[in-house]
Amino acid sequence: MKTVYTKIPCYSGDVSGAASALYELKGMVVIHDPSGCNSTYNTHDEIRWYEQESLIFISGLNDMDAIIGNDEKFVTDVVEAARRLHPRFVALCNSPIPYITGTDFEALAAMIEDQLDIPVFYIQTNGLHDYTVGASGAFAAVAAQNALQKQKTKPHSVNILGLTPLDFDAPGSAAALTKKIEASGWQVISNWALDCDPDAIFQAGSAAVNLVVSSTGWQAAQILKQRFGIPAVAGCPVGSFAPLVTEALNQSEADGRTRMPYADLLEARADSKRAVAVVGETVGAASLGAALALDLGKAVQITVPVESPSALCSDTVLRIEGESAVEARINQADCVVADPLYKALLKEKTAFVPWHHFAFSGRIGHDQAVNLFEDSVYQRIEERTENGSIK
Amino acid sequence: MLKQVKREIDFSKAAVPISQAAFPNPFDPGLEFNTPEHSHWNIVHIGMQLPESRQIYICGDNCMRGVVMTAAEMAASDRFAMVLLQDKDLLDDDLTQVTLRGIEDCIAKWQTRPKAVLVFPVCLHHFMGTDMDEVYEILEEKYPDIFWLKCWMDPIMQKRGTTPDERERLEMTRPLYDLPADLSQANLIGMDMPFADSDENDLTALFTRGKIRLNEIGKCQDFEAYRRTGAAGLELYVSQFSKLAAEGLAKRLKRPCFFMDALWNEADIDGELDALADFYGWKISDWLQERKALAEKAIQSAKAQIGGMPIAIDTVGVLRPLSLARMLTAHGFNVVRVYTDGFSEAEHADYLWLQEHAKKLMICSTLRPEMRRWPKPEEKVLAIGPRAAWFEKSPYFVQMIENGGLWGYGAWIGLMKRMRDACAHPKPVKPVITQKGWGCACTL
Repeated sequence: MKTVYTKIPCYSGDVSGAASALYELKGMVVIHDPSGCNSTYNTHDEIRWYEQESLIFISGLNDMDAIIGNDEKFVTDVVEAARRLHPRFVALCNSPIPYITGTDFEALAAMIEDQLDIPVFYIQTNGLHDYTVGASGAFAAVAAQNALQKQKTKPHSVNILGLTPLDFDAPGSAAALTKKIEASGWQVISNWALDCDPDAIFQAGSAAVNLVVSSTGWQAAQILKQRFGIPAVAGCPVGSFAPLVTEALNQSEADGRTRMPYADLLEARADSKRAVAVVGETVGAASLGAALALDLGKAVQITVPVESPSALCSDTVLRIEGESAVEARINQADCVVADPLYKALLKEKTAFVPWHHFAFSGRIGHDQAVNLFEDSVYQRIEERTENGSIK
Repeated sequence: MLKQVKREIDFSKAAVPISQAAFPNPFDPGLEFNTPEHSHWNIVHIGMQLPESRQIYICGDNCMRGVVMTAAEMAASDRFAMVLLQDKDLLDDDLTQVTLRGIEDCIAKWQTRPKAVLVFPVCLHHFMGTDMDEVYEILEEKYPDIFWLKCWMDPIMQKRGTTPDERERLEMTRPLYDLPADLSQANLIGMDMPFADSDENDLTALFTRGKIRLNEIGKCQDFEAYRRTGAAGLELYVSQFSKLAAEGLAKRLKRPCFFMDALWNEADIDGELDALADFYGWKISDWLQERKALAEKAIQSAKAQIGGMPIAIDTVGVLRPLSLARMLTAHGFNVVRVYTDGFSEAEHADYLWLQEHAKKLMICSTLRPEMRRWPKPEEKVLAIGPRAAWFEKSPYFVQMIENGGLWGYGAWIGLMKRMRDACAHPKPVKPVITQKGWGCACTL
């Protein structure tokens, strides 16, 4: 069975993804779950829990309430907590048991909203998917809010979509990314949603382009395109790939089309020997891979072990499911760039360059997290990849 | 979205004076908050004590994440395997077969055979009507060299019944052989923290004095050695969460079973020690007097140093927080807050005593959502337990879980020593209390 794992962990779950995406937006996230989700999230999937307040709770569902469908308790408890804590919005998340009993969360959201003077919405999770699904749903729900309206477009301006510590946990990542974007002549309107100003999200309708830095921002980008006509560019400005991202932003601003600058680049080098494998979330791994391909002149294959919109994938950016399949694929490469816990899958001769991914190894190695938007940090990865791949 | 308006938080449903606290449930149920404190042990930590065993979990990403990372953080990934459930397993397949095939695949993928496997199906298995009896029947027939432990990770059942860790502790007694009773050894059942040395634990002192070996699972070198502890002539437990395991084992092996409740007051301690001494025929009155004198001396020394400093206690640090609050209050300490979400029947007398003698003592929830915004107190507070340390934001704290190996008058001595040290040596809170499974191996 491809879903059997004996060597590596699984990625953060969808509920954690939703909570992480909404963490800084001053709302209240309620997970309809007996126990465990909150503890798992704030222990392994959230670096902000200790120092930065956010209202994330579980419902404490028990067996009888689930069996007899005692949704009234859930509604009452959410309303009571919201009235005491005054969040800006309430987001509801599903978990395995309410999922299989068919709890109608849209209806619950409507019932709660009737009693509160704030938006209440449902993030489609069920605890059976990885974080990208939950975070995508959460950002999409924000993008769909009526409070966001089309505004006069500010030239050369972007929203950053898909920024959470699950993919960018190195301290200063958001600041370094913003600095890099601004250095290329672009203004950041809003950041969804790490070290962010939640009020700035109300201005998102004025951006010229959406910069999608992880797959978790892709669905929101589609909604913003549909609602406000804002095109998207998927890619992280990393190393030598950064100018290509800027170029794509310029082109998309001009023609209104959505772009993935890493795709063509990786494809163009696909014929040479497959020397490097990069493992990680789609957009981040593909961007790092594109930078390495440019700088090292080698073919780079991207292995995406998390769920990903097919639009972001290609022949060289492949979604691979299951421990054994990932193991088989990455061992074809001479050098692997991945989270350190992937070393458990590698043959001895394969060179390895660590790239900590919080959604995978969590707190283990968090002190080694790298800020890819710092050129010096990227250069160290590049050098290690070059040296490693010589082996 | 509306703008947030800063308002005062109403804590009236989350923190109440003991004089107004209902027994045994002082707080209304509602949404639940989880603090960043994670010192307590979970089912992974508990199971890893079983020598030469491995664990297999069958669940979705979100539930799996907590347990697989627990194993990874304690550098025990090689003893952990998982079957990640997907939508199709629930909607289009037979979960009994998915579970069985997954476990078989785990065994096939492992390069060596474990002596025992703890299997953890989850809430979903209950709701989908999975036939776990059939799964175990097939596994036991196919792998007779493996001892299969039938555990659960089903928190949805725990509020009205047996918790997953209680059931797991019971399962962990099943491998013990049914051997002739040997009164020169006794088993301490279901305790995660090893007992402290004789000077801080009366039971360690008495068993040592009586030349009786006290078996603890964490000290067994291998699976076979653990199984042979079935010879012990007496089963002992100190936490109510081990009751099912200890009494279940005692019933199976027909052994006497003693609940040495970790209470703090003289009459309670004396009563429990007398009962144990009667069983073994020990004469302990002189020893006990000497012990009490040492304990009283330790209390007076600590009191001289700590004075009227406010003290907060939690249920992670100590097993009987009301009993401890009573003992400290009776000795003149200034206990101001107890963090607990419910009371045990065993502490009803302590509850009544505190209502009369410590009317201002606040009982504070740890789960109520308002507690996310519990303010930092203005004064310095001495916290006993990691959760109290978090709520009080206090660097003056005693880090321990489940009584920290302390028991009886030795516990007085041990705790006073730790309280004095906590006052004299403030320490950073975050790196200590965020570590999972205090006392376990940790890679962080």
